[in-house]
Amino acid sequence: MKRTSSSIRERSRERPVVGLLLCCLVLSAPAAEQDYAAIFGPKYAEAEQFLKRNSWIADSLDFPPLETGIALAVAFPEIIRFSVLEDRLQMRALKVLYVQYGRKYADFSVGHFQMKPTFAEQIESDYNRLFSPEEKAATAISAFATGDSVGLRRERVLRLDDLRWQVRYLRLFMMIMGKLYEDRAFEDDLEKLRFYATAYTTGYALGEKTIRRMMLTRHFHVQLFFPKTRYNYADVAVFYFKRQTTAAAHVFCLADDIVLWAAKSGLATGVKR
Amino acid sequence: MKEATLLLALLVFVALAGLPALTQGPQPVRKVVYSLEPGEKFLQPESAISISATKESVILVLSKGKGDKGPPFFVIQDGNKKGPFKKLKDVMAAAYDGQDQEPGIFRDCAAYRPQDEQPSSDAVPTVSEAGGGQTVVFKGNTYGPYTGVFDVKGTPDGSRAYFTANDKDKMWFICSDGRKVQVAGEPREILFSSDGKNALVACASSSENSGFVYTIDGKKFGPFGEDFNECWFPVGSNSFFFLVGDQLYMNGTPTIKIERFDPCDFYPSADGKKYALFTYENLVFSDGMKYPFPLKIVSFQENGQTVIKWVALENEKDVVVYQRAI
Repeated sequence: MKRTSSSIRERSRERPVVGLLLCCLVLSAPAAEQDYAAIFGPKYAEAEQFLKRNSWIADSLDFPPLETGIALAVAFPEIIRFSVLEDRLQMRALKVLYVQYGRKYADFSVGHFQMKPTFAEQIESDYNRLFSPEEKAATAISAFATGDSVGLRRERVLRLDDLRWQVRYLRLFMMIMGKLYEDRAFEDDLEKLRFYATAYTTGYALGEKTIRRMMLTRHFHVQLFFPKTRYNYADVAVFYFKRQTTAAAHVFCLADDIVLWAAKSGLATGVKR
Repeated sequence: MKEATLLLALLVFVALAGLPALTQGPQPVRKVVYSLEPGEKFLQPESAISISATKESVILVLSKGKGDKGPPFFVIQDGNKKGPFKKLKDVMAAAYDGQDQEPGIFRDCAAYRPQDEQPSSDAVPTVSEAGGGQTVVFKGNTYGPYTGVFDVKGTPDGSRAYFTANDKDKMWFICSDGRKVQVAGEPREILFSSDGKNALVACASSSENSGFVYTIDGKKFGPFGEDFNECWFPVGSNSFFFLVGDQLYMNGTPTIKIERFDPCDFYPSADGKKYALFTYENLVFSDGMKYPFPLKIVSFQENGQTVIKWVALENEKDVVVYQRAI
């Protein structure tokens, strides 16, 4: 079955099952090697708070819980970086150069998810190419205008300035990755997350071989310039994912315990899952 | 009849064609300060670009290496070229060290937003719990206790603290220099001017869908409805602006009608009646003149006029500096 957004919606019904799986799998998973929450300190907490405060982001992705968790984890290291930089950097000139002359003059990371215009160009092109009109209708995002004019580049920059559009681009990234790597068998969800996260930060159009090679490299940092230490982007994504799913699994397990206890106690009447 | 219609149409056409000339503002002074050599690009480290401009000077940092990351690096200051530099640290030091100029890589916003400027640690106002209430402590002085303290701000020069607090069912907007104004409703973020002397707070009425703007000098403006947009102080100005729908207000007085914009991109004249507005495609002046693709904009006062100076890249190689009064 192809992973269209309608099938994704159907999979939302699997939530309790996913919850139980997470409950069993994640709690027994080994701890991450490095504590990135401690390494990045308040900036990690700020990024975490940002996603908690803006729960609409998870809702807008419109994926089942596991996919939503992966999507948020994919973008999470960039949210840490954005929380360090905020909008302190002079982006205006880069945006103008991009609108005026295009990608060969300026490509830059913008916004909470630190998306580049070239990333948006690729997403738009692949979305137009890979998804049928029916799938686009189900996604509720129209096909993007094609070409490379000043007007189109300006519209793209304005979209990248808009967090709601960044969420849409993230959603399309997940859907495109689902299409492009539909037949790939990942060892588990964490390996899939590593692959997706690396593709997100290095460029998913580089191809599987390059992405897999880049999965081993350390390029991520949160310094303005001159970073002393660099980290593996996917490691940070996985760390966040594990922390989130562990927390969620605790809640699921607690809920399951309550249901079990309620059933045993004869109090289950009216309890719905 | 047909001839008369044609004549009328011709007259209207001539009148309209002549209109831009009548409304055209002063012509900008244009100067090419550098032409990029083949392979040279503006340095773009970590999604920042290094172009800075002040009234006196324009500084560019260029790279001529692979992609936009170099090395070698070069500094162009007012048309003079320094370099090559092998290390990013060295070229940034050569461009900005010891100079009273912004490093060029940080954002430029025409609205004063002091988040990045912090007062020294002994001039940071703090809120303390005291006897079931709260006090504000600033430079050794204690203000309060109040039932609750809302927003607290210290000016970057450490001279003043502003805060909003409620006390016995009354809401106050207070400055550490003794100014104190009673306000009504729910206070939002305190804003102050870049010299720290003027400040305001917008308050939303809890009962109605409306709000008022209060200045620290006791002026009150409003009520304004849902079409009230954010207030701001432009950089280097003691005047404050806000938009209500398409009506711009300066110091609470209506000035001009204008579509909604980001205050970061808005450069007003001293009287608030003329302006320059940045878009990703143009620098638009209130007299209708448009200048394409401004990379860096700076405004300053000269001979009683607000002057805008901007940098553009033309023909994919010419770094051009323009200057004109608003």
